[in-house]
Amino acid sequence: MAGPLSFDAAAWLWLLLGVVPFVVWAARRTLTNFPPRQRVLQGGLRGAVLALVILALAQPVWHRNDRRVSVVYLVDVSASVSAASVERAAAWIADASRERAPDHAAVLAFGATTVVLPDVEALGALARVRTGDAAPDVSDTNLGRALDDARAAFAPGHLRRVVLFSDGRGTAGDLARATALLQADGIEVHTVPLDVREVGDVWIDGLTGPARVSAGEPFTIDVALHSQVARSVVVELRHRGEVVALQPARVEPGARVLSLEARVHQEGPSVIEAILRADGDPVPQNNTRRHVLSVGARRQVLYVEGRPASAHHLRTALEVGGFDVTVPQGGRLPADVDALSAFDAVIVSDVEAQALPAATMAALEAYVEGGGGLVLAGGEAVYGQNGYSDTPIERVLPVSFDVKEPPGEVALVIALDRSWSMVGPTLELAKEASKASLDVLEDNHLVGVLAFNFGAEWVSPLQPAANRERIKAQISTIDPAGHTVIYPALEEAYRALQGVEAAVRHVILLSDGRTYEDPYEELITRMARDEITVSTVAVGGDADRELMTNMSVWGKGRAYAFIDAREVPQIFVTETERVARGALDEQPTPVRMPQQIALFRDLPMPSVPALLGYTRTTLRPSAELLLATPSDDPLLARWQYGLGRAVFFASDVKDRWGAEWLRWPGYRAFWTRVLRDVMRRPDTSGGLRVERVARHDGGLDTRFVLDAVDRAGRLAPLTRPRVEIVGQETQTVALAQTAPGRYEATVTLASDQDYIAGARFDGRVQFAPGTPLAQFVLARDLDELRLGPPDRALLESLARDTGGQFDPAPAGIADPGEARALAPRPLWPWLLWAALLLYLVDLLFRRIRVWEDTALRAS
Amino acid sequence: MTFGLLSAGQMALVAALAGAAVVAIFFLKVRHPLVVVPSLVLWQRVLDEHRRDSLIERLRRLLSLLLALAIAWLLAVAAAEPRPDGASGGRLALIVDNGPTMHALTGGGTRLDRAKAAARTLITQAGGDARFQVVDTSGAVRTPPDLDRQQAVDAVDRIRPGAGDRRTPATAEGYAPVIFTDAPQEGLPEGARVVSLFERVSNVGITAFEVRATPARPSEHTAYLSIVNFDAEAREVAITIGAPGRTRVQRTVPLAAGAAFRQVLPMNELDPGVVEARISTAGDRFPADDVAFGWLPDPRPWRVALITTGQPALAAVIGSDPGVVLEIVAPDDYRPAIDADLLVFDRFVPETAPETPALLIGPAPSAWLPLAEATRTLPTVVASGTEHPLMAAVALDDLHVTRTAVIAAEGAVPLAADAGHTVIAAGSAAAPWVAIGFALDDSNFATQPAFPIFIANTLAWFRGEADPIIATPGLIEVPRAGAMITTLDGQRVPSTSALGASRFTADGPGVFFATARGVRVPVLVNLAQAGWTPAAPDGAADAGAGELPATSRPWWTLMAMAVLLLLAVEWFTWQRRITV
Repeated sequence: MAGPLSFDAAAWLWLLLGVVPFVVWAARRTLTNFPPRQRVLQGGLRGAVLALVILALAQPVWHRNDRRVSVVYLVDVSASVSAASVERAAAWIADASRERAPDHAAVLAFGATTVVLPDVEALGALARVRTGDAAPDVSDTNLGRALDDARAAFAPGHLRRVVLFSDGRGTAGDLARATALLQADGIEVHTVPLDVREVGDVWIDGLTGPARVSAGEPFTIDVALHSQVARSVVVELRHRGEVVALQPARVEPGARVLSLEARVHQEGPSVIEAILRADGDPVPQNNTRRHVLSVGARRQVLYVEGRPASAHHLRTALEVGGFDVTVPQGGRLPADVDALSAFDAVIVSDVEAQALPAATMAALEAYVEGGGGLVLAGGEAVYGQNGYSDTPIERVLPVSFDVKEPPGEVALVIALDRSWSMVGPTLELAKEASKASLDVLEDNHLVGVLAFNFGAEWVSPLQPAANRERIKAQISTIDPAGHTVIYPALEEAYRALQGVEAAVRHVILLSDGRTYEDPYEELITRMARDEITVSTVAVGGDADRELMTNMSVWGKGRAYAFIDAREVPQIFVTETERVARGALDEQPTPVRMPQQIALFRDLPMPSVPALLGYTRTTLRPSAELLLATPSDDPLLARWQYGLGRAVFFASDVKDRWGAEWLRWPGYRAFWTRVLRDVMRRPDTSGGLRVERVARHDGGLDTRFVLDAVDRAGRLAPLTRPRVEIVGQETQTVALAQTAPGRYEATVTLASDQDYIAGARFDGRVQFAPGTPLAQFVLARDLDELRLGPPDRALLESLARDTGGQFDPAPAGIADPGEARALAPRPLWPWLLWAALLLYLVDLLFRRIRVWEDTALRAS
Repeated sequence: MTFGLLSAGQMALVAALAGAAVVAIFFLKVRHPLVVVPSLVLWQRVLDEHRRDSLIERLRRLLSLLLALAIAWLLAVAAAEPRPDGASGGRLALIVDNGPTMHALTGGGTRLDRAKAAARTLITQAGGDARFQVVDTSGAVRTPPDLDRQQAVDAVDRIRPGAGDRRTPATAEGYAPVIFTDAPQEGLPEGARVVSLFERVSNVGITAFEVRATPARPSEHTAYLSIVNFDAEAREVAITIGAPGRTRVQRTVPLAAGAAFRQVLPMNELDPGVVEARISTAGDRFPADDVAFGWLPDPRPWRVALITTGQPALAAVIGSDPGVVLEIVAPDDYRPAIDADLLVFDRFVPETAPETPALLIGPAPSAWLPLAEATRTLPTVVASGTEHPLMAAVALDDLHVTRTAVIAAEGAVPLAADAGHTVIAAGSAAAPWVAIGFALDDSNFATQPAFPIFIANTLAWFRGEADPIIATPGLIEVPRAGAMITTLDGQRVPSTSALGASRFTADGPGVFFATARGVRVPVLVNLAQAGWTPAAPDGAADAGAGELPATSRPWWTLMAMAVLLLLAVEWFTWQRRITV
């Protein structure tokens, strides 16, 4: 309708065009003898009568602007609203009526349902007693339904306004939809906030937690508490009746969140119940809340430890932490991505790079790229030339093994046993090892080679490694002779290194035999005090391994023992690299946390002990540094690689460099969190989920949606999909396919009981591990009794969106202002009455002569 | 006969007065003019004519009187609104089923059209003192009681097709419910009168159509199509699938009575955008379920130009998006005419605002992007405006920033702030830009898990599209406040916004777009639903007892038409002196 007048049968209006022509046509053929003026009058009257009848047939409707105001007072009397507030609402309404009473008013009280009250006095009575036939159901606050009921309470043809008195804490219904309908009808909603009951209550407002966890995996449930007074409480988490977490707390008025850690061991759908215990709590009905979660199989971890005898430390910690840990026989990693994909994370600890074939490294890289998680823990085996430099594993890691700042000046003395027992391959290999060591050194590093039997002789005195070709040639001249006396060689090496200023001064001693008893401990201890370290290499079955080992301990170096001399060159290179490149730092190293990280929240990080050594690496620019040394070397770093994540731990996870950590209370939690952070994210694309859908009539439907996504991520067709719903009775509902791989059904379930729903289908489909195919559908919580503060933001938004006011004064509520309502009035009866009267006049002027014919008079 | 506007006594009085007036006027003698006629012969003829015509004259006068009385009485009676006996006033609650099956075509329009016509007839045939309440089953129309007839007719006219279910809505106490429906209703109150609109119709319909990506291969899309022949006879069904107006897949399948056609179809050969599935069957009387819509995302890679002196982390994250083709440009090589869908400026700001959408990271102040002086702080960054699509699933818990500029651009939407100072902001749809006040090197943002999510959100926001909303006809909600709703051809659709969402009404299947804050969300309205067919509702062939009110003109209109005719006849005959 574009204007104030409309026609319900406008086609009749076309006849108006014919009225004048017809009247004139007939009048021209008149045989009457009325004077012309009277004939014109008669024609006009007849035309008018015809026009009025035609207009009546067109059924015009006049949409009259109406300033009358109809106000519906909608008062929340639900259980959460205080009696005083309801009485204030009644007083507000009475004031509004006194100031300027609206042309029509209705008072509705609502909770879960709505009742029409006869007058405002009844509202006052309801404030005190909210039961009985005249009272609504107060167990919920259904704002949507109340506003919808208000639409049916206005007087027709009036300006319509709702004044909503409420705390805004709706617990049921679809407020948004009701608001949209009010907007469409042009109904203003003015909102007045009401206070909730203050009874000194404390309650659980809500629970937040993961939807899916793995069996045995610790998870956190955030329990949101709200209290009206300060008091002490205890919060429990229960699973199947057993307490799985408990925390006492002191709460102050207001909100507070407690985080409790729990774990569930049984796979399948689970319900965690939070129970609040508070002495003297006046409203115990709001002290419980439940959370549904799906518990999948325990997460699978593959742990490859380079030193298997020490694997039990981390393994035990992770198994207690809720993981199934596989330590493969022989410490071998699978070389197949599919085999690796059976695990959620892979830990590689102190494994030499040579132990991993290229195919294995490539598989590991592909595994991480595809979403798997990798933790590489350091140790002596992972660094340097024989470590992971320039390998696919290094690409995956958040660090590189190029050490930014080599240690500076290095002075190295290689002391070789040239006794008769070394003759043959052993001495040749030792000489080759020495030569290979030269290639590791920087040109400015100092190196000297001592050959000893019963005395020590400089084959090549300390000089820059730049002279390596000459030094190598000199090494080649070493011949076997004599028997083994180690002491002079150490003395000579000590003497030579004492006179050198270098950051690192080190002796590598190689021997295959036994020597005399000499004060080695005193000598080497002195050397260590002067920061000259000693490492020993014992070759062959006759070597005095005990002495050699002791020497390395006194000398703060490392001891190596081999039967097969062919291993000597490699260890010489490794040892030289360690010394020359500073790739290892074997001294107590405090652990520093560069910044607060959510991962370590609530862990005893301030008490984390020092590490006894670590592998020096360089952090990649886009990696995140989680732990560092005081000199900012990375200790723990992580980053995203493809779809997966990789973590590097520079120290070891066992009883060598991490010996102190094994006694740290946070050891298990630390590694559990790191692993959980890095491991493959569970595939959430498939499974059964449950949605509650509010209906416009205030009811609640339950929709089951099954996404059939198989292990390979494909959408799987199902045969006869259905959901079995078990409550007090069991029903089976067919699922209809609505999209590729998606099956749905909507049912109405009672809201006051629990159900468990399981997806069923014929045939077999391999879902991804942990895909939930069963869910709990819980009875609705009694949210009405959660007496939180009024939701003023909601009330303000509701008023603003509908053109109303928030907390208006009573006086202006009935003032129409510039607004007008359109009241339709059909006009056809009036037109017909007018036609009747005009017809009588028409008849009269056809019976009487008003004017004389002047032509006749003249004659 | 009774009267809607007058009582019988009043009507009798009016009729008597009108008749008396007519008679009285009629018997007024017309005064003829005095004319002197000298001829005796003429007088003789006059007297002779008078004696000869007196009987005819009397009949003429009687006929004329009766004609005038008829006109007057018809006018009087029509104005009093006569109606058949029994159609007296009362309190009626008219419930109109506007559920999906009421879209079915029957003789004279859809079932809903007939239901509304029947309701109007019932209203107009009721007395002037009748009062009504009008409610539809979707809840969209729910009037107060005490409506007069015109108001009730207006309310019936406002009823539109919706998504009501089979639950009978509540009506006012004391009002006798009359429900106009085509299927059995739940919760029908005792004594309710049911007016059935059901008649068996032929229907083959789409019961499911949706396009979906394969989780393992997000670039591959398939569609599921389900068609059911609800008819009692076999039918040939012509199926076409493609963009609206452009068919790519066409086939005809025979379907036995009650049989279904269900198939998963590859979609990658189709053009991106709206995918329409349409069927046609001879004699189908329910067109609302003959079309359904799906959405195929645009697979065209987006060209992103990264203007930087070097930022590997940023390049890696942007380049890892399979829908992006990344080009790295040195700042010295940047030209405003650069050909890209999105520009990412890393620690560089062009002199003039680019016309292409832009992401600026660590920018320096410029005339078109006013920033406050860079501050050296360790701010606590709080994600505000988290309802913005850019911040969806972006957690900034571990974000540390050592130095940042504060974004002060007018009209910008703050997304993250430090103590009220905006450090991440987005522009408007008219000026689409996103600015991060700090450089990546001055923060750990690039190492945060939230970083690739933020970049992905930014790319999606700039691309301007989001996952489609699939809805059924009726009141549709889009979870974005202040969205502008348009049809497929760009026509604006009236909508409202409240409580963080926008709503509009769709009468039937169709494609709409909801645009808010630069993001355009397709809204696909489909009737495809297994349970909605008007062919044969479960459990009953008709909705119950109760006859459709006979559609007839109100008596007063018939009388008014008769008056019109008589007036015309009387005027002509009086002019010709046939009547007097």
